[in-house]
Amino acid sequence: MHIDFKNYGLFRLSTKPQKSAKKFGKFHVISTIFGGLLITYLILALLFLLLPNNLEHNMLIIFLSFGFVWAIISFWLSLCITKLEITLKILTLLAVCLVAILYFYES
Amino acid sequence: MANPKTLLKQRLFKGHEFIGILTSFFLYISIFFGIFAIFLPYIQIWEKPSLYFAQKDIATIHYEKMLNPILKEQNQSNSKLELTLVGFRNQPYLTISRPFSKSYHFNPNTFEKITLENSNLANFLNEMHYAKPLGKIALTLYGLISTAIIFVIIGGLVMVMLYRFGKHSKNRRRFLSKWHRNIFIWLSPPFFLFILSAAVMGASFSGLSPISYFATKGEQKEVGAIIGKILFPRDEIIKKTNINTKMLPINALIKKAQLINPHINYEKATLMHWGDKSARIILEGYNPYKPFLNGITNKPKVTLKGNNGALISHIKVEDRKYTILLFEAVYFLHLLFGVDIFSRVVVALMMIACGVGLVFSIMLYLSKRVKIFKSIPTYHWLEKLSIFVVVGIFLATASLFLTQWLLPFSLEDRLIWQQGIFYNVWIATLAYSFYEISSKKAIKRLFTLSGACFILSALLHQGSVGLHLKILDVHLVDIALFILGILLLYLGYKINKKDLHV
Repeated sequence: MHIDFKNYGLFRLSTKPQKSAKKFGKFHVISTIFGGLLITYLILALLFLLLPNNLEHNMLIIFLSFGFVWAIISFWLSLCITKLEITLKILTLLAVCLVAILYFYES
Repeated sequence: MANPKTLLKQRLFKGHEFIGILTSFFLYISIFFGIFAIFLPYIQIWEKPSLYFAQKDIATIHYEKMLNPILKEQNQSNSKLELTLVGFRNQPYLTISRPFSKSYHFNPNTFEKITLENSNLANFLNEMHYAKPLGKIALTLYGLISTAIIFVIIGGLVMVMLYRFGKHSKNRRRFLSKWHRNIFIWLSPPFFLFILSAAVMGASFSGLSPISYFATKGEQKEVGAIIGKILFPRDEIIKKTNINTKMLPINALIKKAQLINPHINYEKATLMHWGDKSARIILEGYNPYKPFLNGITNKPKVTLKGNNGALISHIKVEDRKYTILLFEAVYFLHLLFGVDIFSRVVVALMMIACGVGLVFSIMLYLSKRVKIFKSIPTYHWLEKLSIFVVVGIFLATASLFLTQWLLPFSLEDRLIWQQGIFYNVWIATLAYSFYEISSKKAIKRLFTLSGACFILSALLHQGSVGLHLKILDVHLVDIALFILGILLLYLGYKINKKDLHV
């Protein structure tokens, strides 16, 4: 039996041809906003572990940078053209941040 | 698949346009009321005729005449008094307040208690700036909107760096695009600082609870509780000795503090255990020689002993940690606490320019959407909505200023009448802008009417209070309102001649 893999999974995300990037789909909007928020939380948690001050002063720096970091990450994600690209970017950053947080959390 | 460079360009433009038009009306309303909020210290004197007296120098006032009656009735357990001095946010009166009880306002010239009029105009304008009438959700909503505007600013700056502009064929669109770009390129640093602090104030408190949960290992979810400890450190607790001693007069203590640090404008004095041997006075204020570093939570402080005026501690602007100074730098331009009239005018002019740039961008968006059918422009709902927001807001605010002097101060529920008229006029402009088929006609009428209302409110105020040569601030507000009215009348006059299609 022949299965056309092009209709399933990641293949379908990647191979959908894009003629113009003028429209934002639902997937793009949701993953730009909420994926950006998730990554922002992870980056800020990592920043909290890396900063040298005590708890309150670290929190103050994170407090000031939250909106800016979220906007930058969302902007970077919004420039992606295909769904595969945006998924890969979110997953890669998630993995990197999680590994780094686990590495620095114990020490 | 199309060329990746074209796709990137399309993404950048559409993202900027889509999020920009979603947030622009909220941003416009916020900027509009924010400009009034910049002049809040002046408007809040202007609205209350009982405050029309000259400001006295804080070192020459006899505080004891006003303080002693309050000290007598104060019970022993609660021995902390706060004096908000003359000149704090331009106020000409002295406020004496105790924790958990009513505060008193005094006229330092006659030493009599003032009863303030039932009027809340300046504060209401300030509350409209962050949509407080909408309730608790408003602050979070405005925080999210300002985060989205940071997105738009970054997108705009990247676009300006990557591409060359100015190739539109149509004359009007080129003008709008050019000035929208020019204004926001030059004003992007202060504008960005404004929006960044707005995002911090709105979104960070509610949005950061996961991080604070993570950082405290599940103990504290509120960010405000964590950073409040370092932003507002508690005063050290001193023991009462229960030995009555004669205190130095407060104006002598203020003079002493002015000698210790002559750069500070003292705004607040806190009296601890006044009349006791352990009494001390904490004087704090704003240092105008170090802007962006103090004023909001970092206030230079001088602590003196009450009985002999000996110096206990002296905290300067630079004594706090760099994170606090960073916090001050982000918040300073937005809050402008303790800043003089000249800087306020400069900031207000910058924000007016930003508002004009914003209106140009809305007009640019609409001019791209307009469809001309046999040389007749068609009816577009967004066009009518933008007339309601951009132009109707002038008429609503003008009605607010006009009713301030039309309604008598003795009227019952005066604030509800005034604010109800404001909301109703604003909604009426929505109905009118959708009713009138010709947009230009609607704009012309609304501008003319609101200009007349502003001029009338200034004249009414002048007629009702007369000339006070010693208090120029009150008349400056009148002059500003008059100029605004003339400007609006001129705009309304000009619209018919020039082809300005919104």
